Amino acid sequence: MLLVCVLLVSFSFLSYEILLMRLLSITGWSHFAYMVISIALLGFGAGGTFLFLFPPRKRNFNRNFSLLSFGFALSLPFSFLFSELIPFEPFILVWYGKHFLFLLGRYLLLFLPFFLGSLVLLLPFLSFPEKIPRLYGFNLMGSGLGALGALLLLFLFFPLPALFLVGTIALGVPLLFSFRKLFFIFLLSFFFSSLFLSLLFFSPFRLKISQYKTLSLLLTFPEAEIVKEKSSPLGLITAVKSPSIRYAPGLSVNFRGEVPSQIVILVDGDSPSPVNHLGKNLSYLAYFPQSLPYKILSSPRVLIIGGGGGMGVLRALFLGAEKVEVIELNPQIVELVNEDLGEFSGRIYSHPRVKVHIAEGRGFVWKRGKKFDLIEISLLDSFAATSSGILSGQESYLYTREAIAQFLERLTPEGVLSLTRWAKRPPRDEIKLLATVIEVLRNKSRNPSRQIVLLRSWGTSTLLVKNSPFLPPEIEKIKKFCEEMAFDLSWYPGIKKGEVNRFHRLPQPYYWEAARTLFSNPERFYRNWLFFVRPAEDDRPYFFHFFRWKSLPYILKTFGKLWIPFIEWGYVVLILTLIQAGLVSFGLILLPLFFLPSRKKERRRFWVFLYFAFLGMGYMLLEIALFQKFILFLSHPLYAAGGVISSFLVFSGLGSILSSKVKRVWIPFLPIGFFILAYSLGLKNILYPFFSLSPFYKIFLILLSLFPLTFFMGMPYPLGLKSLSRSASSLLPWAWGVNGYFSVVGSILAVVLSIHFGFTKVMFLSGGFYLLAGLISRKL
Amino acid sequence: MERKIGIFILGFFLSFFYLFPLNAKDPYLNLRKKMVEEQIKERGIKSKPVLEALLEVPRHLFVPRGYISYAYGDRPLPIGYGQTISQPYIVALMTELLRIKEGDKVLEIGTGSGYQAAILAELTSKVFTIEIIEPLAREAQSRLKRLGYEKVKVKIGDGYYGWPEEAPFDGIIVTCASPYIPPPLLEQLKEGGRMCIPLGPPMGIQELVLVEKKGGKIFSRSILPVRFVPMRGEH
Repeated sequence: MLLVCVLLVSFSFLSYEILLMRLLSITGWSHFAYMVISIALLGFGAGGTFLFLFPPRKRNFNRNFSLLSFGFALSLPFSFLFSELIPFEPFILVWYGKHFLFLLGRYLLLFLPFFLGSLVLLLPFLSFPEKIPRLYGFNLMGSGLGALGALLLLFLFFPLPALFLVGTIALGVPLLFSFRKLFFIFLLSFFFSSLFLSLLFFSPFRLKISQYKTLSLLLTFPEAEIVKEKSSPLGLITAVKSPSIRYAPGLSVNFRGEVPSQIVILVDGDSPSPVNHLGKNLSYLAYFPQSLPYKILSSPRVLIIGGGGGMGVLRALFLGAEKVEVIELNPQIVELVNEDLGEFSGRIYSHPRVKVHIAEGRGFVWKRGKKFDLIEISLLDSFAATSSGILSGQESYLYTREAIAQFLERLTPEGVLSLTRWAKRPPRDEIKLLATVIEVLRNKSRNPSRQIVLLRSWGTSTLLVKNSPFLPPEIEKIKKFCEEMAFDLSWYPGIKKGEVNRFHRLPQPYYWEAARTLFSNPERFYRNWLFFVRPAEDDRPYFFHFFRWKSLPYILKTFGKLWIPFIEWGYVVLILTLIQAGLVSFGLILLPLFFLPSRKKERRRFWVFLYFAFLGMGYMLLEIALFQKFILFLSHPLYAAGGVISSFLVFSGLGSILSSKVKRVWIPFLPIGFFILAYSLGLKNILYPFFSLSPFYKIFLILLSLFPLTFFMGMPYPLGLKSLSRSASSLLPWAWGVNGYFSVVGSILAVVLSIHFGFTKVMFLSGGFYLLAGLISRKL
Repeated sequence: MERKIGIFILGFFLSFFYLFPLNAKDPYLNLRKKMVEEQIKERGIKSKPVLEALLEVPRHLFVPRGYISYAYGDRPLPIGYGQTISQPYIVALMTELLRIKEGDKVLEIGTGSGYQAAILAELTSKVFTIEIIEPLAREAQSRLKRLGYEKVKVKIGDGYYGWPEEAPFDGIIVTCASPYIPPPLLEQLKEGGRMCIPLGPPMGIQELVLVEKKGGKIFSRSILPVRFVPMRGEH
């Protein structure tokens, strides 16, 4: 019974964590959602410290467990609902100090369920130390199932009702446990579980989306209405209609007609993607920089990566493409455009010349297959996300050196790769992309300056890469098109200084200057540019990481009080989160423990500290690095979360249960060391031949390949606890707290280290921590 | 002893009034002067009429009650409906870029609180402003009237189409983040006219762009990346 309860609490704990990330991404922005990981780990560690300071009596176990599990279950939906009442607005955080207080208020409310959950989970550990391996095993397995369960719930329900369902599942614990022990808790649990279940279907609650998100703004438009809403783990999709919606970023100033009204599709209330009315005049589609390839290619076969609302597809059809293949990751978007909005969109994705693939761009081009005359990747991520720099810590496998090389391989000899990005000042991602393309072409022994054209409108920049040198007649067509559209050419083979920066004038011809230096001396450019623009690679796929400490004094000095837009906030937020998590968790987890008087048997505290610190750090570094590494293989962070996190938790749980058979603490460290080394060096070669399989089989492969490592990784922690319970049981919560603290710090540090050193080195480092833990395991 | 205390209290109040003199007519004048000196002039705004307009218009009467104490601060302020009143410097910069003189016809897209329209009205008597959100437009209209800016014409409607009945305009100022320049606005810009527009989507960084019409051709210039809170959506 107790083991089932531990499983259920762990399940709810992890499901809540994932649902909370989804909910915060919808109501606010995704970078605040990342905060959830550290809140969860902090709650876990703080729970350990609390029990160390206020040790419960074993005879009160039934009462404490019933009450705490009941409190935990109620806090799951209510802490979120109450936190929504705090008027926190992330967007104006920079200007209004009081919003930091609001943020703290939210942080504490969201922290509560994790804190209570950790108390519920830790109580049995303290009361029944002899069962630690099995308890820990069920804890990990429940967590693993919770990660998968949350994904399943998100397929079936909208995120908020799903939260009530998780609350109901958590109420199963007091229902099961308190029936004969604390009847009034049983009754209350029964009442609330019925209430939560009814709220699942008849909820009066609606998510309070920030008024500064695009969705809220669009809904203030005349006659604006939500025409359809769909939800899946990939995001909450909303289609908004209003006669005043006309979205056309990059449109030429020489277009004199009318842009027809559109329906806009938003993902998590942002990243607008327009759906055009097929019956309206669509002549405006020819007036974008992305239209240029159609001037030099006749009836091309086109591959569009990121279909969205279908604007790129429509443009391709309108401009004479013979065949258009589209890759769209989210099947619900295709369904929405083709069915729910079918009449409006003209069922564009079912057009005879269009073929849709539900896939991820990189996974699709990995397979060997037919070649295309044009591959287009256009404005995939929202401007908001890229310009605010919040993606800095987020991996993107679409713009790495390896990705560009693969795109070029899927082009015909005369084919063109068209990459459009938002123009920013001073430019950064456009330049990084240019640098990447130049390096790739150079590695193929080509002459990049003959194969690249760079043009820009006032708001976007488009990079064209041809698989062979541009020919003089093509260059004439390019020049003519740009003249007619008032687009500025920043590079074409043979460009002269007088031809740049004419229509939309920048203070300096940044793009042209950058291109010139990158062609001649890229290293010098990387060293001197204000932002980090060295090309990203698969082992370090942080395309959006532009921040350089070196540039900070210059930015502050040059831009004075107007420096805010120039800071790449994502990286800064990541570092601040690391510092904040380090300090707060130090205050809540470690500091109280240092003030306790040292007893004789606790002299080993130092070794306990090191052992559990190394384990916490090593485990998180490896888990996060592998998780990010497998996003490429599994094509989506969610599948990677499902595969990697579940396998870590479930198999570690299994390892923990079986650890009771292991006689010595140091034994599992040998296979762990071996497998970390083997995975760091050879996992890619083993898995990548299976790249073209469907996500289902790939997750299965991941589970299979991670099994031996994660199985053994589940052993050192319970073995350490068990050994400690024999020699100094009062140190158990201390060990728990130390491990919690280093897991918090490790989870964020893993991203920071991966940005700077790449996944392989982070995996080696993790192996190093395990090695050290193995060496000192005898001191426990 | 009591006398000493009395003198002390009197001295305290006198010094208080010396340090913070109350302007009976306009208690916020000093704050406005400080704003113009520290935020506007220091950043290079030189146009005398613009500086005078900023000194004249009582910005605190254009912000919600709860934000009055922040009215002259170097920041935008929320005015509801996901909208803001821009940072004073941005208002000054955009106004200066238009080079307005008395008699010029100016169109503003995105009335918001009406503050920008009031500044424009200090420079010319022909100000036209369009707001898409009805409650904001009505509030701004009555506020402008109450503060003596009756000549400002406020229209509730979609700024995308401009105000063709009153076109052409010598200057157009768009106070809402826009992902592109609406073609009708380009049509309604007079030959030699200037348009100032923050280009970019509602969130994130927008590029403040100055558009000029010369010989029927459109030229634009990037002035400054700005990250003021979005004002309008998807045009």
